[in-house]
Amino acid sequence: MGELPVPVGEVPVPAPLVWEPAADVPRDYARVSRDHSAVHLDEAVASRVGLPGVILHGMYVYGYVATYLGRHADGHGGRLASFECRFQAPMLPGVPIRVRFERGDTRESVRVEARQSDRPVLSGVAVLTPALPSAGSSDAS
Amino acid sequence: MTVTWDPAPVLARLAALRERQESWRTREIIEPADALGHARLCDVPAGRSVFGDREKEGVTGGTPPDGPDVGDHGGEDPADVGDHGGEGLTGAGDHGGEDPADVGDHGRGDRADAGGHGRGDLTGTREVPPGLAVALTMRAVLGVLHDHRLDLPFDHNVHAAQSLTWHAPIAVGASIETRAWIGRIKEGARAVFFDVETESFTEDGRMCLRGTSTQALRHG
Repeated sequence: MGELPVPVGEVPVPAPLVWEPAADVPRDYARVSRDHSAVHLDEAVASRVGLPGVILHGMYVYGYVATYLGRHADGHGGRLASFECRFQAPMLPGVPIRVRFERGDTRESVRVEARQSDRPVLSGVAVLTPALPSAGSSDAS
Repeated sequence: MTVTWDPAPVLARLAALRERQESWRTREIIEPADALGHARLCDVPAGRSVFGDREKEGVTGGTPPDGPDVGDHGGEDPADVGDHGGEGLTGAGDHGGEDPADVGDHGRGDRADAGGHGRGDLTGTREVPPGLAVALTMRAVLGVLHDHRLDLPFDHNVHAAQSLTWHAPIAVGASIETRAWIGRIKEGARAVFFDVETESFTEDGRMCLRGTSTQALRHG
């Protein structure tokens, strides 16, 4: 049995991510995910349950950040292996979301912290695995 | 905190379906949307399951059929779900009214077997981005949440946490089957929490995605 490939290098911590989801994102993402919950689509319902307006799907934000991380890792020869997060507060369309990344407890982990209007809305940890050496390589550096 | 709905029967229903090891299944083909290789999810007719007979199948309701996805695609938005107005660091651009289910081309060049129900003729050119896997998982989770036997108080439901682990690339044209089931159930001071676990498999039975979706049914 051959030796397991040894990872080389590491994927650097991504640059901060900032974007402003447009007002129609909840409607569009409801089509994608099929989550047509009223708090994402109906201002009156959202207001009734104490929200300032319709809210973004958490999975929209999760997917946006995951794709950003995946592209970043891919650009450095690695890949997104996992991403876990907690949704800390409702997120609104039309307000910028700012995401910061920091090195986590391991060389492959990245801490993710997202804020909207200076309020924490999402926190988590992603694992970005580095490239593997090409077949036949014995360089473990 | 005042509880405006009765958690006891909800907890009982969740526990009952978990004890019965109910599972919910969805199946999607990831179709290319255009020549650029952008992809979207498409329903797959009921048929052979990669899970065979070893899993008990529950009700698969809860994801009402959607209209056909049409339109172009071309985006550089990380989520590639149309133009959401971002001009931030990600370069989210205007995609001009395209299908929000479309996901962008990452061009990894990985190949995957998508025979059988998959679109083998179209497969093996590009890996789809994580945003599509997320939507695929969400559809599977909704199959559980919308099961009429649970009768969940949706006005109180929030998505509390999510984790996903990618085990294998998912390529355009692949047929992906996802099984979902109820995991941990816990009553807290402010909410009832429960996990919906998901596992997604390619047509040849390889697990490509594993997830846990934590839902919170808030008291009050």
